[in-house]
Amino acid sequence: MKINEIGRYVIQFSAGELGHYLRKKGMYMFTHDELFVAVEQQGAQSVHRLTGDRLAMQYANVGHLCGTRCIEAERGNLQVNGKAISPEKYLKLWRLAMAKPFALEDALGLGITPVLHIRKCKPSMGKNATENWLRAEHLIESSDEIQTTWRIVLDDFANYDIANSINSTVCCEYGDEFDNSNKVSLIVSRTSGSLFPPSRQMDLCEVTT
Amino acid sequence: MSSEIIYHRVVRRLPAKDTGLAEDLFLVAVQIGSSNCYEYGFGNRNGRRSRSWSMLAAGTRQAVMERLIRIAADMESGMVKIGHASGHVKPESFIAGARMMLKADVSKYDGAHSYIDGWFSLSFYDKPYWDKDAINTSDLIEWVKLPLVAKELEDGGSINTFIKVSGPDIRR
Repeated sequence: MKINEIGRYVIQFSAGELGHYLRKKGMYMFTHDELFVAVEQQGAQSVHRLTGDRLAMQYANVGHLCGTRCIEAERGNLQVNGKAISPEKYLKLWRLAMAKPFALEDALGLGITPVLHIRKCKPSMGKNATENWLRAEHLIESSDEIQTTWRIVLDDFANYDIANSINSTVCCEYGDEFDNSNKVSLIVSRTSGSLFPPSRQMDLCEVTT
Repeated sequence: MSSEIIYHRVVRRLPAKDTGLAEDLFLVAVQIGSSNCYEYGFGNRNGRRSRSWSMLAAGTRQAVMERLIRIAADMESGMVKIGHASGHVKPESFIAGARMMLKADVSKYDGAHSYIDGWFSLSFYDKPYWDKDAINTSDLIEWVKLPLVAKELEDGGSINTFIKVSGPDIRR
């Protein structure tokens, strides 16, 4: 299935906000706004879906783009505004987005809420280290005999501390693509249906195919 | 922190009409070395950064491009440089250069083209007869028809891992 990306946004977390996640240049989260057609009872309907990459430094995010979405662009599976695009032009679009990053408050104000999902296979968990987190029922999205999934809404910087603790305790890694049983994924939900302000949207979505 | 420096790049194309395959094949070899490893010896061999030839990507145009795009990921972090230790290149520039390189074939690229005839030396697995110097096109055609290589090509993968390559010591 082809991906139709219609927008891309960079959310920046400054070093001060991140506390002990201290990074001089701050951390960034790349989010993709994709449009796909959902067929429901009422008929086909265009649906927006926002997904986020890992929270990482800018160079790591660009590297991640090369290894994932640029490959899809080269294969012709990733389109921008419904048109095929080369990986090099796709990266240039991201440079535009990187030049005007959003602060987290701005993103929340626009109705964008990052939600982190951490999935861990139970047999590989350490007994003592993860017991506390297994008792944090308000954070657990689902749990069965095989695996547990935590869901942390990242609308507050304090929640990043919690997410980081869970993440480090259960020994997950961001972007662990080789082990599907232990996975961290970032799903960005838009709480309101409105798009970004048209002027900003155009700035970030300019396509030069 | 060290980085890998790509000094020279060459491409060799195997036309589909020669191999009997559906597509042309491309072999991309680079002269590459670490930024923190130096040669030790006499004369102008002393103190220069060490470097050797390596097969960066090989296969169909699609497979080679995908492999080079993955390598481009390390351009952004500065783990891979071009030409010299401060030769930072953006991934998009590297990808565009790679595309141009495949398009131009071997004829006009990088000044190393004068070495292209007879510089490949390949070894393949445990078959010593593949340790050949100055291999020619017919050797390569025979090589891509070997079962393991043919299977990898069928799967659309890059076949660079099946090749060891050595080449001339270009001293510039």
